[in-house]
Amino acid sequence: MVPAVFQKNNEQLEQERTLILRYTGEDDRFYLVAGQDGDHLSVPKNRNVQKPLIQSSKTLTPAFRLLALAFLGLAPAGLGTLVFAPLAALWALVIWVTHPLPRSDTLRVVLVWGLAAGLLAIAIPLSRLLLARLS
Amino acid sequence: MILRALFLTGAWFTLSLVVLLLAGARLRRLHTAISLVWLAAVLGLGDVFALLTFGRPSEVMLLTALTAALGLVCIWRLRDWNAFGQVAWLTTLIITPLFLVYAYSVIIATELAPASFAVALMFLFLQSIASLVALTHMFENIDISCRVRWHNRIERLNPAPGFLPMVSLHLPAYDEPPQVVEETLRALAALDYPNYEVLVVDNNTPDESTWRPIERLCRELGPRFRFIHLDNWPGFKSGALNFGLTQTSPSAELIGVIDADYQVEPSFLRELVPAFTDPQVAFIQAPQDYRDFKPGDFSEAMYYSYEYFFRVPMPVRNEHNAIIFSGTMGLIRKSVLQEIGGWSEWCVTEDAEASLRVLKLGYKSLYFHRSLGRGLMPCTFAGLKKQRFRWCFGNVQILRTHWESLMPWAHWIDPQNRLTLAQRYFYLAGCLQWFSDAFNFAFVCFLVAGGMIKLGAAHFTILPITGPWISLAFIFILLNLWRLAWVLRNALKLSWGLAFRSMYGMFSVGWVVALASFQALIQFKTTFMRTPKTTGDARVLNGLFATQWEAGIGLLCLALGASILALADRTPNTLFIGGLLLLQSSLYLTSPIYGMFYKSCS
Repeated sequence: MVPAVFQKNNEQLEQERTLILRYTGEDDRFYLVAGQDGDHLSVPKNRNVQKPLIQSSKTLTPAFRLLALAFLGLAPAGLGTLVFAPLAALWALVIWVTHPLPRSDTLRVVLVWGLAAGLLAIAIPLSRLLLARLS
Repeated sequence: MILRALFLTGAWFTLSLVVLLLAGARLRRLHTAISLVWLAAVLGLGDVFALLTFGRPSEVMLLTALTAALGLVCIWRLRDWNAFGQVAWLTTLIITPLFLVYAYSVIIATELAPASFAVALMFLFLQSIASLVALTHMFENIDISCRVRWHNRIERLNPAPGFLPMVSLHLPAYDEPPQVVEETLRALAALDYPNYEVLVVDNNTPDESTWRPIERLCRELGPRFRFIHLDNWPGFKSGALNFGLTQTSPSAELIGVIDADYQVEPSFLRELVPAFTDPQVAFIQAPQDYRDFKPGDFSEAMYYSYEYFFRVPMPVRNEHNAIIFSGTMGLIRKSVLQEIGGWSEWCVTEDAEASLRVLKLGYKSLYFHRSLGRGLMPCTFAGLKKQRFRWCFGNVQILRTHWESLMPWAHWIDPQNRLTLAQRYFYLAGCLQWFSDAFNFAFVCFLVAGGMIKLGAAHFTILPITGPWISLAFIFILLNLWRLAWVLRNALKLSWGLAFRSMYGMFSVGWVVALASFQALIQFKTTFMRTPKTTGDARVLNGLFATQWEAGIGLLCLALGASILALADRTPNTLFIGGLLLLQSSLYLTSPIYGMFYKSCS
């Protein structure tokens, strides 16, 4: 992505009171732009590339999504939780068994289990009440 | 037993909240003895009432002892609040879960069909989450009105002679009218500060005749001013600001973002820059303020509903080093902005998102309480709705991306995360509060369904509603509306009339906020919708067209509520549903009224 020739660097650009540029591309370190006279420039970004606050775990993302569904599943008398909480726990278990996980992800696995268990503890009595009415 | 406990706490709650609303903002003395006396008075009066009517001595004593113990914790933890605030918060904390437990017990005890039971539980689930969100609002409202001792309140910073770091002011512009930008640039040229530059970054303005006059003006204003026009530039406003960062003078230590319509006061930099003598301070934010409202007009009510954020949540958050950087009228340390990697281009509220990442690194933030510049409000109600949509969408984006950093276990997973518990709470609560309008819409759906069943005299119950449920819900609604008007009146020094109009100004954008929160949950990215500040068709019919959905929902509630009150049976249950529908219609019908008559630009 980075062009071989820098026709102007940042210090040179800073001398100009007016810049008229057109975007053509970028990578982590440079903006690639075209000047008014058609010359192509690469402008150093001069800043770090963003890092997310917490490196989110891609492998465990589905488990957290299932956990969110399990939480929402409390609404229809906990029936949704009965389906999604075990699935979330199972997903976390499978990932834990099949993937070598860093410490943070191992903690996330424990967290998924804990939260799934907590949600189930609320959902089971709720759904039993519903089932009692159905019967 | 639950019902008796609910009645007793209801008595405490009503007494403490009525006194809070009547005198909470006037008591400016702090003393533990006053707090203890007021706590004892509230509990004692409630107990006497209970013992004379429904109460059983053993239950009353037990509940009073537990509440008194929790009250002592409240008085100790909230020692900067006056007695009225402490006790009102205590009783709110107790009655909220009790009410939910009672509602649950009613659902369990009532013989409901399975479908009714499931629907009732769904309602209770929504009610529980909405109650949590309501508690966060309540906390802010009491804090702003009853806090006597402020630790971080800054109205003026001590001057730091000789401390004059270079400030680079970035002015992003997209298709802005040249005359508006000219006023902004001339105000910047008049700044009483020796060491600054101004970078006007015009991105993607399609018509050259719009940006050329601004370019010429930059040349005319002297070497401090530079103009950058970017074509085909990605990343919306943050993309432009990130490029501006690459062109910032290497000697600049601070970055300021100024919206194209803001006229800053000459003292803007002199007032704010001394904050950075503390190397831990990463950013300072002054209130955003507006200059184009007309007294007595709809724009005045809307002006104060804007002010709410900078007069209520921001000062409260500032006490816990948890403010947000809201872009314009703020300064941020360049090195910190570089450390976090610049502005996020995926987020439509990039400023608020950046502040979370800055605080995560353990830096300090400051809120400056005095307005140092004024901008323009959106020209039409449609523009205002666009702006609210963007704010809500951006905050839900932040929540979706950073939720894990705000959880109680965040430190456990990421030891680098230096957000304090208070910071995590305020950011989480701030994002969740955007869902309040969505919850209200869900309640409207339940109400409409309940109303139709009432009207059709069908034998189906959506929610078992008992007498105590109705009376307590009625007290909650009434006191909460009163509280919001009360806090607007106190924090913004408004008359009752203007406070109510501003409150309805807030409600008028409820539908678009509800839509944005729904949409942001299912779709992560959106386009950055520029808020038109000077152009827009403000004709009455256009305003009505822009609020057709709100008008439809409001009319439905009005028709249904009126029909129920006129035609259905006269039981408390029916009156309650009819009354609530009329109340909801008043909230939704505010939108078309504002849509037709709100106009801020001349």
